[in-house]
Amino acid sequence: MTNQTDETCRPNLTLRNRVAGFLLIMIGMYVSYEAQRYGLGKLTRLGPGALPFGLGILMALLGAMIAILNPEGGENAPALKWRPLVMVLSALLSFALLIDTTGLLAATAALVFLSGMADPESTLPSLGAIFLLLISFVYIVFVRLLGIPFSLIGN
Amino acid sequence: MGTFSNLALGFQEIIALATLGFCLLGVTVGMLIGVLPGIGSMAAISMLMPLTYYLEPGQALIMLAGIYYGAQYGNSITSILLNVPGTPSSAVTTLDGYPLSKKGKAGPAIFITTSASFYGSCFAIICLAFFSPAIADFALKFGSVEYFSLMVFGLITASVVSPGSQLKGIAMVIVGLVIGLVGTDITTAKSRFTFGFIELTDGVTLVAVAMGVFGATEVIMNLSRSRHERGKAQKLSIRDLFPTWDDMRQSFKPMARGAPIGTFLGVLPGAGATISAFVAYGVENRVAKDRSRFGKGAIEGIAAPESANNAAAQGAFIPTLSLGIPGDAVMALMLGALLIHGVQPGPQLISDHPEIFWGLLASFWIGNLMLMIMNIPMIGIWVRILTIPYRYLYPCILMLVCVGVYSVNNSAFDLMIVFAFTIIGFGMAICKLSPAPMLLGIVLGVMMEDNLKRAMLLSRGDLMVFFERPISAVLLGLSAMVIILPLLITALRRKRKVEG
Repeated sequence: MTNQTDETCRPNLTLRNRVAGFLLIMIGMYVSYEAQRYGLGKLTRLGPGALPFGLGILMALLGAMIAILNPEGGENAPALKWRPLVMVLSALLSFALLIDTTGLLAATAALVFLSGMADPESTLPSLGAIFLLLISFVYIVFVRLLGIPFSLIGN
Repeated sequence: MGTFSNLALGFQEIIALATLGFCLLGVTVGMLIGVLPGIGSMAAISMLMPLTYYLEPGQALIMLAGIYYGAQYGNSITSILLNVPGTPSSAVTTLDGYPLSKKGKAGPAIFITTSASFYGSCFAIICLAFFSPAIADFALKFGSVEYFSLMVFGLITASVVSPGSQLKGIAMVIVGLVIGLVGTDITTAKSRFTFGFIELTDGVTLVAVAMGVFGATEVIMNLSRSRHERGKAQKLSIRDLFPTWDDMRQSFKPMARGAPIGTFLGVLPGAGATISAFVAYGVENRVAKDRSRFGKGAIEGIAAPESANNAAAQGAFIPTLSLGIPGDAVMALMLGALLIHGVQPGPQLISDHPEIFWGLLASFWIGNLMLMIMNIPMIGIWVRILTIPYRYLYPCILMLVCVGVYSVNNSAFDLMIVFAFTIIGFGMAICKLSPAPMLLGIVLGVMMEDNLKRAMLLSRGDLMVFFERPISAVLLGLSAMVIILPLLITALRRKRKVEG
C-alpha cells in the first residue's frame, strides 16, 4: 500500500523518465547515423561528422541510463493542461504565419486574442485594450525608432 | 596593477549619457520583471536581446547585465510582501522575509535586503575587478587542448550543479552541443543537420531557442499551474521603510558573511545564486545564538542570503568575461550578444576590448546605485505593480517574444523555431529536463569543436594529449570527480533506502 501513495505523490515520473530516455536514444542514434554520412575524417584531421557522431552515441548512452536508472529530482513538473498549451502554441504559430503575409496588425490580433483564450478569466474588452497598447508600443519602438521593416497590413 | 586606471577608463566609458540611459533601462526592466511574479530574468533578457543588436556591444552588455542583477533586487520585494519568490535564488528570502512582513515589518525588511543586496554586489564587483584580469592573463596561455578541457569542465559542472538530476543535465548539454553544431561546418563548408532549410546554414538562432524554451514555455507552465491565492500586498511608503538601529546592527555581520560566500559560489558554473543563498542562510542559522528565531522573522535570515545571491549574480561574470565560459543560461545569452557583434568571448576579451570589460564593471556599480535609489523612494510604485494580474501580462510577454525574434533577422523562419522549441521546451518540462544546460551547449558547440579539431591536428591525432598536459589533466580529473561524486551519493542513498 505504501507503494501506491508514493506513486500518487509523483505521478508518472517513472513513465516520463522512460519516455525521455527512449527519445534521447532515438535522437542520439539518428544524429550519429546522419553524422557518419558527413564524413568522420581521421583523428589527425577530424571530419565534419566526427564530433556529432560521438555526441550522438553519448546522447543515446545517457538516454539509456535515464530510462534504466530512473533518476528523481527537479522541480515539480506541471500538470498537463491542454487549454494553455494549445492556445499559446496556436497564438505563436499564427503570428509566425501571418507576419509576412497579412502584416503586423492581423498577426498581433491573432496572437493576443488566441493567447487570451488560454486564460478563462480573460475578457474581450481587456484583450482589446492589450491589443491596442501592444500595437502602438510595437509601432513606435520597433517600426519608428528601430526601423524594423514590419508592414502593418501586409504586402 | 593598473586596476585603478582601468576603472577610470570604465567610468569614462559609462559616463556617456546614452550608456547611462541603457544601464538605467536595463536595471528598471530588471527590477520590473523581478517584482512581477511569473516572469524570470531569462525571459526578460531574451525579450530585450534583439534590441541590443542596434546598440554598441558594450552598451548591449550593460543593458542585459542590468536586467540580470536588477531582477535580484525586485525579487526580494515580492518574496517579502507576497511570499512568492520570483526566482529560486530568492526562495530563501521568503523564509524570514514573509514572517517579518506579517509582523508589520515589511518596510524595514525591504530596506535591509536592499542594503544587503547593494553591499553584496559591491563586494563581488571589487573581486571581479581584481581577479578577472588575472584569471584571463593566466588563461591566455591556454592552448586549444586546455581550452577544450576547460569547456568540458565548465559544461559538466554547470549541468551537475543546476537543479534536477545530474544525468539529465549532462544529457541536455549533449543535446545542446548537437544543436549548436547545426549549420555549415567551418573547415569543410558542409551543411550539417539543416534538413534542406537554407535558413539553418548559419546555425540555429540562439535567441529563438531561448525564447521558446524559456519565454513561451514559462507562460504555458504558469497558466497550467493551479491558481494559488495571492496574498494582498500591504501599502508601503518611504516613511515605513526605515529600520530601527537594532535591526541594522543585527544585519551588519550577516551581510559581511554572505558576500564572500556568494562571490565564491557565483564564480563556479551552475546555479550559483540559488545555492549561495541557501548556504548563507545555513551559515547564519549555525552561528546564531538563538536558532529558534529563524523562520519567524529573523533579520539575519534575510540579510545574509540577499547579500549572497547578489554577490553571486555579479560573481558569475568572472568566468564569463575572463574565460568565455558561461556559468548559466543567462550568461550564455550574454556571450551570444557579444558573438553577434563579432566580439569573440574568451581570455583575450579583457585585453582586446578593455572598454567593454571595464565599462561593464563600472556600469555594475552605477546600476546597483540606481537600483538602491529606485528601490527605496519608489517603493510605493513597485508595490502597486506587483498586483497586476498575470492574465494582462502574458499576452504582452508573447508579443514581445515574437516581435523580438522577428527583428533579429527579419525572418518568420526564426518564429517557427520559437514555435518548435516551445513544444520541445514543454516536453522537456514534463520530463523534468532542464533547459539551461542545453543553452550552454548551444553556445559552446562550435567553439568546442574548433578547439578539439585544432588540438587533434597539433597532437597528430593523439587523444592522450588531453591527459598529458597538466592543466588539461587537472580539469578533466575535476570533471570526472564532479560526475562521479553525486552518482556515488545517490547510489549510497538508494542502498540505504533499500536496506532501511
